[in-house]
Formats: sequence, structure tokens, C-alpha cells
Amino acid sequence: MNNKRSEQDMQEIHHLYLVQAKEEPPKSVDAEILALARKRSVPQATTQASKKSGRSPWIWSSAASVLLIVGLSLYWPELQKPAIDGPAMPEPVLMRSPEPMGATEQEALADMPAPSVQKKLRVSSEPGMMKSAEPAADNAMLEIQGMRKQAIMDNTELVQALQRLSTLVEQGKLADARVEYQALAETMARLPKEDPRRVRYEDLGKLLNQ
Amino acid sequence: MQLSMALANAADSGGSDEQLMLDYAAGDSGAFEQLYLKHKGPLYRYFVRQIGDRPLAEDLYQETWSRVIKAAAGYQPQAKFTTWLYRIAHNLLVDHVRAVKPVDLFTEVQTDNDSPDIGADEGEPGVSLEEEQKAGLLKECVSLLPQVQKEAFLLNCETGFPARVIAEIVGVSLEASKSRIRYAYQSLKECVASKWEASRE
Repeated sequence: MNNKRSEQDMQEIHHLYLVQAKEEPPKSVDAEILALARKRSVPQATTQASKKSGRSPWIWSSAASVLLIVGLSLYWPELQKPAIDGPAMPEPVLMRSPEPMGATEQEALADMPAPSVQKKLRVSSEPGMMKSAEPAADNAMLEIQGMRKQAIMDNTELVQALQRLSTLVEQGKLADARVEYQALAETMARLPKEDPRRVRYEDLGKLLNQ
Repeated sequence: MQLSMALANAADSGGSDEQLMLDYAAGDSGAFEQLYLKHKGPLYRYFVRQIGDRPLAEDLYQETWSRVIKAAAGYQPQAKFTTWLYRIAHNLLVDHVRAVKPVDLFTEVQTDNDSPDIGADEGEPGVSLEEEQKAGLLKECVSLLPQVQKEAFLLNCETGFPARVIAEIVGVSLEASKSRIRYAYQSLKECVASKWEASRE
């Protein structure tokens, strides 16, 4: 009974409310809101379109960058050499050379053919001589670098050197030929056994030893 | 008959508003216009009846629609459009009035510019003079309600939201929402009766 009466009261109030609920926003406010809605709907449509087409330039620019890098590395292969070739390796050692040489660094230098350099390195690593030995170690490292660079001869130099050695052997100047032979030893050791230059070098060596 | 029922269902169903909003997000500004015309009156009165300052009410009303427009691109119909719309409106109202009047929230009520003129006999067709007069008294009584009851009453009356949806919009429990609605109607009934009696004497 109470609920029914309450329901009737609510309906009556609701009805009375609707009788006077007539306020509407001013026309100018309506116009502003609708204008804003129209203005916003156009950029949304164009933005969605530009998002779709906007993906292609990104892909194309990435692809172009990759092609450029690959093209450059193919065109100038020597750009990659420092990262591959062994001789560049001692350079970081040079930067740390004021400290005594570590085992690893000494191992890296162990295959160096020049006895004078080895001697210098031994001197520089002796305790008690550290201070005075520092410049000597630096010089030794520079010398190693120079020798390594020398050891990696280019093909023309190598052919010329072999030609000189061959001429010396033919002329019987064996002492000079042996010096030249020794100078080429390291470079030749790096070449494959079947390399014609190494084969010729070894043939000349056999003639020298006869 | 079937057509009119279908139209009524379409108007009442939550789906049509959401679809209009999605259409607007897809670039159809006509869809927004339909949505706007459908909801502009109730939303406008939601602000005007709660804030005595009409320019401020209009600003908040405009800001609500502006936010709807801005949010349209990312709109996802997870809730009913009207729930979302009035949640924006409620948050704006609370934030704004809190910023302007941090202590005395919503105490500004409609001034007597809109107060009913009991003696006036200009009326709506189909509405009796007594109803017109009582409706005017009700308007005054609504402005005297405590803010939380006023908001619950307006949401219920203007939009037909049940207590559950009102609870969701204003962020209170279902029980609190039911209680606010019940007390609001009760207070309004007593207020109108009292004022009506006073006017008759």
C-alpha cells in the first residue's frame, strides 16, 4: 500500500517536472557545437587516410638506407678491412702500453719475427725499469706496427720482391738472396700453400739451400 | 503499428546512440547532429538546474560536447553512450564547482528570475492551470534540494536512468543512489504540497 502510494507520488512529480522542463540551449551554442563537430570530422577522415599512406615512406626510406650501406660496403670493400685484418689489433695495446704488458698482449706479439723488438719488449716489462722503459715500449709498439704493415705487402710489391730474389739467385748473390728470402718469410707464410707466389718462393728457397 | 514499434525500439535501444557515435568517428558529421539533437535538452537542463549561473552552465554544457567530439576518434562502445555522456558532464560539474567554490558546493540555486508566477494563466494545451502552477512550484523546490539528491532526481527524471546507472555515473553505491532518488521525490512532494497550500491561503 505504502509502495503503491510512493509510486504514485513519484509519477506525479515526474509528470509535473516534464510540464516545465523546456529549457533548451541557445541557438548560438548549438551552432558552435555543431560547427566544431563538423570541423573535427574532416581532419579525422584525412588523418586516417594519411595514416594509411604514411606507412610507405617509412618503409621506403629504411630500404633505401639499407641499400645505400650495402652499396657503399661493396663499392669500397677496404672500408671493412680494419675490422677484419689482424694488423689493426695491436692498436688498443698501444694505448695501454704505459702499464706492464699482460700475458695476452705478449702472446699477441710473440709471433713477431724481429728479435730486436722482442728484446725491447722484454726490457720494458722488467720490474724496476718501468719508468724509463715506457717510451721504449711505445717505440717498440710503433715498430711492430710498422713491421706488420710492411709484412702485408700488396701483390705488386710481393711480385717485385720475388723477382728481386729470383734475380739474386740467378746472379749467384746468395748472401743478399738469403736476406731477401728471410724478409719475405712472414708474408709468404700467410699465403696458402698452393698460392703460385708461395710455390715460387719455396722453389727459390730450395735453390738457396742447395 | 509494427513500424512505430520498431522506431520506438530503435530510439530506446542503446545501440543507436553508439552506432551514431561510431558513424561520427568514421567522418559522418550528420550522425553527430542526430545524436546532439536527441540529447541536447536533457543535458542542458542537467547543468542549468544544478547551477544558478546560466553562462557557467552553458560553458560546462559546451565543454561536455567538446569533449565528446574530441574523444570520438578513439570511442569504443564499452558502455551506453548516455552513461558516458553524463559521466563526462558529472565530472566537469564536480571539478568546476570544486575549483570555483571549494567549501560550499552547489549552493547556488536558481534565482527567482525563473520562479513560478502562480497567477499567470498562460499555459500549455492539454495541461491544466493547476498543473502549470504546481510545475512552477516544483521547479523552485528542485532548486532547494541538497545537491546529491538534486543530481539523482534530474538524472532520473530527464533521462530515465535507473538507480544502477545513476550510481555508475556519480560513483556511489546502488543503495546510496536508490536512497537519494527516494528522498528527492519525497522532499519534492512535501515541498510542492506545502507551497501549494501556502499559495491558496
